[in-house]
Amino acid sequence: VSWLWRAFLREVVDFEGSTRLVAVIRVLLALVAWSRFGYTLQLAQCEGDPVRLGLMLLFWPASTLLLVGLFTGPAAAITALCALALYHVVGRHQGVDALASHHVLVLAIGLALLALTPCGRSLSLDRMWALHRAQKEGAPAPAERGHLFGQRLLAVHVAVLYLGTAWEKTYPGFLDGSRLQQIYLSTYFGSDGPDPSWFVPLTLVSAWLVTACEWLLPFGLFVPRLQPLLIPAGMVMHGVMYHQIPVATFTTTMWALYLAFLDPDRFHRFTEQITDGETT
Amino acid sequence: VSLPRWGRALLSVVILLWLVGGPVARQGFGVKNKWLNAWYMYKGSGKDICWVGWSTGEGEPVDRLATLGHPPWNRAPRPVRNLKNRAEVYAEARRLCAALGPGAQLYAQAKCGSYAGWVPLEDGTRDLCQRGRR
Repeated sequence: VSWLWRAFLREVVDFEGSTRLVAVIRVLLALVAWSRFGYTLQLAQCEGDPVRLGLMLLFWPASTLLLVGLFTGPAAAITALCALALYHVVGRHQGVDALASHHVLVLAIGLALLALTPCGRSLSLDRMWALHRAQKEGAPAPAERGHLFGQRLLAVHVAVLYLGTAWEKTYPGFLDGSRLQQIYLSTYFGSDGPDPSWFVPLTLVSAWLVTACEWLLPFGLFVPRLQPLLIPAGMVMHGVMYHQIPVATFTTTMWALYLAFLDPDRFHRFTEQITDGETT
Repeated sequence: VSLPRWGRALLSVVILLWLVGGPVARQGFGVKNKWLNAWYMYKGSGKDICWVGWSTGEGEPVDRLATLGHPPWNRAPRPVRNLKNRAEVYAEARRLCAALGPGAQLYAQAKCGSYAGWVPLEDGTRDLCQRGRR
């Protein structure tokens, strides 16, 4: 227990590093949030619904500030609260099925955990302002560093999600390809179906591949050596889903959240390399 | 967010317990609580479909959409393309029998979707037109 607690303190609570990585996650999640909630919170969609109207008034300014990184902490918190309210209040309580979906919850939790990171300390107007102040006072540029327990929690969020979905798929009805056959028949082919001689083996192999991937990713993504293999594999898996079945913003959310597994300092060095160290 | 160490530790523990505890309780142990999080994905999607292969008494395949005057599958509207349940399968069988003419025989290998997999409906041994005439 003592070893576990020390590891928890070292790897989560005291984990710190460059804030550039979480800044990139911030920009990506803000754009995904616009993509997912933009239509829902259009003025025309909010007529006669005080809850949506209130969320609209909060979401647009907050998410815009989150994107550009101005007053980033409060902006992230308000955007996350809006996303959680859209899922729980509008989606589940008011019964709007499209918002009660898992892909909304993945994004909302992602935004909530992002709010626990110093994601405005890099690539932001907050950063520009801090540099301007420092320059004016003749002080050195503030470091792009901070506590990143929120980044670790984002990674755990993704890992737990995969464990849940892998667990959910590990039963004969999925592993024999039946459930994938049903999804593809209802989405594409209809009740007459394609030629079973290729369709059945393809769905069988796909079912095993997806399930194996989802059991492997939650553990393997934490291993830096495996990341060059598993991150592209996971991205391809989500890309195929995005291309073929209705998953809304789930794929783009997961792609953005994959960054949470990367080493923030290595990512910082990488951005320095590709920009000749000119990034501030 | 600049929190003291104990604040970060407390927050992390609470969040980790919620992130991990929800799926374990709901998916692992079947606890029903709306405040607990769980990752059921596509549990219900695509279940409302039956897969049916039609054939005549001579074992010749029957092109359902062509027989009923519908466009091919890739242009047919979804309500025509997808037979959602056993009632729709048997209703379609009656339409096919009528379209094939008096004395026609129609057999079907049919199964319908469910979370557990395919549920068998017809094994191709019954003349569905005869069934309709009875």
